[in-house]
Amino acid sequence: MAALKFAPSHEWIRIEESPAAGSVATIGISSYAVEALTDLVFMQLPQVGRRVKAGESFGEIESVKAVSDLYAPVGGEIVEVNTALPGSLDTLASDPYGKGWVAKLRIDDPKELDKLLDQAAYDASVGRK
Amino acid sequence: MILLHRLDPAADGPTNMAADELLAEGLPAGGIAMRFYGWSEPTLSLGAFQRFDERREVPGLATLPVVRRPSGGGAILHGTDLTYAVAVCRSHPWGETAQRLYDAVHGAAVELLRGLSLAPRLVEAGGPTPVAGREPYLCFDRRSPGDVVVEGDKVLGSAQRRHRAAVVQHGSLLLRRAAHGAGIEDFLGRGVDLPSLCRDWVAGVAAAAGADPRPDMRPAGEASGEAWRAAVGRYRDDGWTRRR
Repeated sequence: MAALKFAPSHEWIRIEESPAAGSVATIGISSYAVEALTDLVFMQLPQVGRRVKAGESFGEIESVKAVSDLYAPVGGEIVEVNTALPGSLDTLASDPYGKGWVAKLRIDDPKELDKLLDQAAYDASVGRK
Repeated sequence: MILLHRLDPAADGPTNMAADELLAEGLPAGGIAMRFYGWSEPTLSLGAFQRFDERREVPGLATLPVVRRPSGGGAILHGTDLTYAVAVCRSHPWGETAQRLYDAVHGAAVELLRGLSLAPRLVEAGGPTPVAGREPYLCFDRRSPGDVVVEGDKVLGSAQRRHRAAVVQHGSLLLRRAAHGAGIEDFLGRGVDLPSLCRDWVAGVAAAAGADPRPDMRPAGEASGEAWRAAVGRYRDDGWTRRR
């Protein structure tokens, strides 16, 4: 399985092949962020076909206390969304890096992946070893 | 560390939501901003994802002006409440998780109400997990950990919008009986002096943060120019208000 990369805003991205323009990557939310949100109640997925820039909000998630934006780790076109997720938000906590994926994105520029954190750097940034 | 605070004049829904959204603008690093405000007319504020049409199912709400908040939670009927907003940078310890800021502001409110000789309590964790779409429509009919309750009636509830750089939390302290239950003036049997109440609440929040409270002299709104106009326009936009 390909390695995960993380945005400082707590989204992860996985690309299954040598990244190139047009490669499709899967994106989701880190387990740390899901735990911090607690008691999720609603999720707004992006529209398939929508184009996003790196760092742009592509969705929203509501917990009992807060609404948070989801930010695109890299730019590209949304090609698929996990339509089962809003109806089973528990999956975000039980399998954040598997069935809890949020969207698939056809990436524009693979160089943007170089700006993201690897697992160790992300874990360190949130105080996890 | 400083805590900037101000008590703003009553305004309409879009103006209030825009002012909340921009509260963190220009905030010094590590700083906290807190504003208190009222509403120029009775207004229904909806949570970010509540259904617009569902308000018709609650008596007395259908004809009120409506504004949609950027934060979550249930609908609030404003007009007999004191509303507040507090903003912190995400890098502030209170910005790390939703519960920390919630607990800090509500903890200070509990001390404030005790100082008025009321007997408030915080709703404890461990209650039933909320089920999406099955929560009561009105915020004050809901209970979540950290809500402030007096004699069984919820008197303070809050919600947050977590932006990339800052967290804005706003909430409603019920002063007088509204659609949902009694407010603190009902329990006290007298009115409260709002400037004093705000000052004491700020002092409690500042003490919890180890911050120095200072009056917020930043001009609200107009100085922000384009960002201000865009924010007010967004909250006036029917597309936002009826998004769901």
